[in-house]
Amino acid sequence: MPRERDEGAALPPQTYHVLLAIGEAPMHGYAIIQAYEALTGGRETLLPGSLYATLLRMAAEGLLKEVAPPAHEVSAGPTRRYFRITPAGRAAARAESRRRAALLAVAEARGLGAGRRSR
Amino acid sequence: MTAWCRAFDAAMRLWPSDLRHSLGAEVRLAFEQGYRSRLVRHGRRAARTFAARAVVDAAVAGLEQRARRVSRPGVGVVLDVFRRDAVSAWRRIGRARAASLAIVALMALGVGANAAVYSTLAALRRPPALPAVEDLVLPRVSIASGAASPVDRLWSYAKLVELRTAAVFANVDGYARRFGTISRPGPAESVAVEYVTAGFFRTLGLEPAAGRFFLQAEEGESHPPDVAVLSHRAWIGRLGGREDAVGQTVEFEGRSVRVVGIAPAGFEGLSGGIQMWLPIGQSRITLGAWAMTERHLHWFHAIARLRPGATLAAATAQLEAITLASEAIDARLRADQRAVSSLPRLVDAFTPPSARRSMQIGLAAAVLLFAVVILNIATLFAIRAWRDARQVAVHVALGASRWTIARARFIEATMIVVPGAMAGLALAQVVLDALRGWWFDFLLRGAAGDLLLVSADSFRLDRGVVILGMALAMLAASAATATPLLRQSRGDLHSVLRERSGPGRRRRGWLGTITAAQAALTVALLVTGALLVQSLVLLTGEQRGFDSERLLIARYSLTRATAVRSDAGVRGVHDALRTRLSRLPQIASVSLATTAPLSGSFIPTQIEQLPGAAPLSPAERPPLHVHFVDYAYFATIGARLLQGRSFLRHEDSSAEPIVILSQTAAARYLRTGDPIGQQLRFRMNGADPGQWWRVVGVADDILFGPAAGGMRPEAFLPLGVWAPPALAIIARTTIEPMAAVPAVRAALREVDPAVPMGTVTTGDAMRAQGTAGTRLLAALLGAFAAIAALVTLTTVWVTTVEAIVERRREIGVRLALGGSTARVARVLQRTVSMPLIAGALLGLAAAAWASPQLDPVLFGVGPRDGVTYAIAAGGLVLAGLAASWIPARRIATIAPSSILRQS
Repeated sequence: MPRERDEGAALPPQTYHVLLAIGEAPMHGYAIIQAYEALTGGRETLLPGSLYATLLRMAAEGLLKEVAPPAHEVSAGPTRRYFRITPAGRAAARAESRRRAALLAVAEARGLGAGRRSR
Repeated sequence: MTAWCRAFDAAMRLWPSDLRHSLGAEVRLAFEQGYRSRLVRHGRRAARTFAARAVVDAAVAGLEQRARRVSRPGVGVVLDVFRRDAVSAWRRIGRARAASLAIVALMALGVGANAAVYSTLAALRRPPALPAVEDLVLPRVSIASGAASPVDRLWSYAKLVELRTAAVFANVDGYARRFGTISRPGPAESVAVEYVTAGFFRTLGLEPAAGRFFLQAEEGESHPPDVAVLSHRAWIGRLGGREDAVGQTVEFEGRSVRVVGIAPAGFEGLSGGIQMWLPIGQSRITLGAWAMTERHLHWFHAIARLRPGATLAAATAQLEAITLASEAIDARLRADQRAVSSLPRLVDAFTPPSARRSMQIGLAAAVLLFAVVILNIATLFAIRAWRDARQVAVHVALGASRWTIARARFIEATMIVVPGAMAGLALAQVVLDALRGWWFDFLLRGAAGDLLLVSADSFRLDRGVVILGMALAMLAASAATATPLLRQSRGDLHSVLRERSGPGRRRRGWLGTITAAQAALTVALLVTGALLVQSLVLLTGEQRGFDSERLLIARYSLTRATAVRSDAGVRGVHDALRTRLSRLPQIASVSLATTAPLSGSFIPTQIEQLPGAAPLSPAERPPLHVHFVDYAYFATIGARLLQGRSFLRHEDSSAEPIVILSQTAAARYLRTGDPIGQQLRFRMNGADPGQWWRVVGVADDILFGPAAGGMRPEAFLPLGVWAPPALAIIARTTIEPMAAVPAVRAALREVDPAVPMGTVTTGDAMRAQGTAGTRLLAALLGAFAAIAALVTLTTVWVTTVEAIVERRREIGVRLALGGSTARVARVLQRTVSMPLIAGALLGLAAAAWASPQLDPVLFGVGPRDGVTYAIAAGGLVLAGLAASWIPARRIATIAPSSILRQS
């Protein structure tokens, strides 16, 4: 049973990053790391230890769902676990994006926006 | 990459095991892929940075996963509280880094010393692993005469047979430790063997690992078969563990003996380190015809198993009755002599009492040291707590409970004491390994004589002592920290903040008591350490009678020599060998003799008639320890002749009855007139039974046996009287002695290729072995005393500094009013001088009370030597005063205005 989470609370950064990276197709951990690096142009990275801990927690909270590996998956190494985003995950990502957008607007209004240069 | 993978795996071990099993491989794969992709795209440095971050990240994630598993309500909160306490304790430790490191080092020394010494003692007390070992007893007889210490007497075969008639014993058997050379298969080697009666192994409850033990028929036959049982170690080492070892032959002392069985693994005889057992009947061949037939020749020990239901008291009573009857048959005891029987259990006597005594003394010293360390730790923690008094008062005012304060301090104590104990554990392991290698093989084996049922494998570190030490230190640290803080927390913030920082009367009293207690313990340790060190100095000094430097000692036996058929043949081989050796450039001088100094052996005889006196009855005959030596003996070993002359070259081959006595023998037996020219009568191999021996010289005392017994009456006879088939080559070399061994071996081979060389050692090694027991105790107690003194001086210094902090304002006023620097310094010193002197006196009293226990291990110095006591106590007090003078003098030289401003 998914663990309860406070809908209004801010998402932990790593959770938000995973939700941004995972997209619609099921992905395994290392694919999520690669996708996130691609999204950020290699400026940011996810580390394997905390990533897998985050994936487990997100699955427990209902933001992700563990699914069977795709039929074409052939690997000589260990069996990988695949995760797919859930509707709750999508909703949480949207809510977090709105929260951050609102914060960004405040920052812009205060002259702390990304486009301004410090004097 | 491999190292980073290992580090990552180590970090993954922090994960809960189920997650590690289900996810670990995939996480590890992601790590490897991430590392490789960075290596390819960005280079080695980026890959290393990624790997380091990933390892730390995996460890933290694992710990978080574990924390989530703690589902009981409140546990997470408690963990969080402890985490915060730990962080704040870590900051406090960081602020007082030097004191914290000092406590860790003290803990390591205190715990390490105690754990190592206690573990050694525990190994000596662990009962041997033999079936129903509590039923095994050691029948012993000693001859007591007046107030003199009883002299142990062993068993002859005839008396052992009489002992077997006792109904209380299920079995009675005998064993004797001897040395001999095994020369095939494998290299020639001098080994320890035991001659045993047929039921020896059965009595001990042992089963052979292969083959059989001895048969009853093999025990007392007039021509016993040449059979032997090999130890498990010898079977592996010499026969390569061959399955067909039973039935193989081994060459021992020039004879072929057939292996009939292999002893179980781990059993190496009752006297320890045995490689082979031989039936006691074979002693006729190797030891002489008398060995089994002579009723009065006592040469082996007895071991017996009590019959089920028999009590020790009943068995002792029967042993006494048999001993009395046996002595009545002998009719050899004087009117003032009596035979005393005893029947110790094997479990109470399987290690030498001297070894246990040494370790008990060492443990007592280690406990004293630990007490000093604990007191010092308590002082350091208490001072830290006093200095935090204001901070605690503020915390209390802000709502912190006393429990919160005590808990935080407890965690701080744990964070210092536990690493100290862990370091102590590591130190103890190092010391124990050293003791196992050096003390056991080198010292215990030498001191054990004929009973040693301890193996080096039993020296295991006792972790219980470490835990106990850690608990005691925690208790002391927590009490010393929490008590003043809790007292502070009762007062109101206002009064605490207004209070000038300083100990106050109660604190001064506490510090004084601690200083006195430490001084008392330290003086007791210093006295014992100094007594032992003095013993060692005397023992290694001039008192051993010979010069050990560059002295080589190598034994050889002519029992297999093909050329030897007669006394003349034996002499011929000895002479040829000496001639060859004396021509070697590596050898400055060489001597052949039956015994080397400190070898522990001699040929026993008794003086039958003294000059100008009537013949002595058998019971009155005093002992004489005989050594056959050649003309070069005294010059080669560097012994001094006090009177008369040494032997002359031609006396090595003439049977002239002359003797050189040691100083002790001459003083004891020739009390009147010049000893030179006087004559003694005693029996000796190669001479007529009624032979008189003329004294031609008196030599300075030379120590041949253990130091504890002091000097014994020694007599030296020329090789011309009797040329024994086994001798020791004693050579003063021109190079490092062991480097001359190949040349000596080659010379022996040239004389007769069939003669194997036995044990080889050096004078320095023998001297070292002879002093090893005292050296160990002197090193242990000396080191403990030095550490205790250093720790006590630290307390004195800290106490003085505290007094300065407390009385800063008073000092400033005194100096401002014209008080002299020296006077102010003296006032401050008084804080520590009285406790120091009181403690030193208490320590002297304690040392005087306990010192008789040291008597058996001292040499040349009494246990209550006044000078030693005075130097130990006086030295500590003076050093303490010097330690307190430094800070006292320093504060007294600062300008009073500056002091007052600071206060």
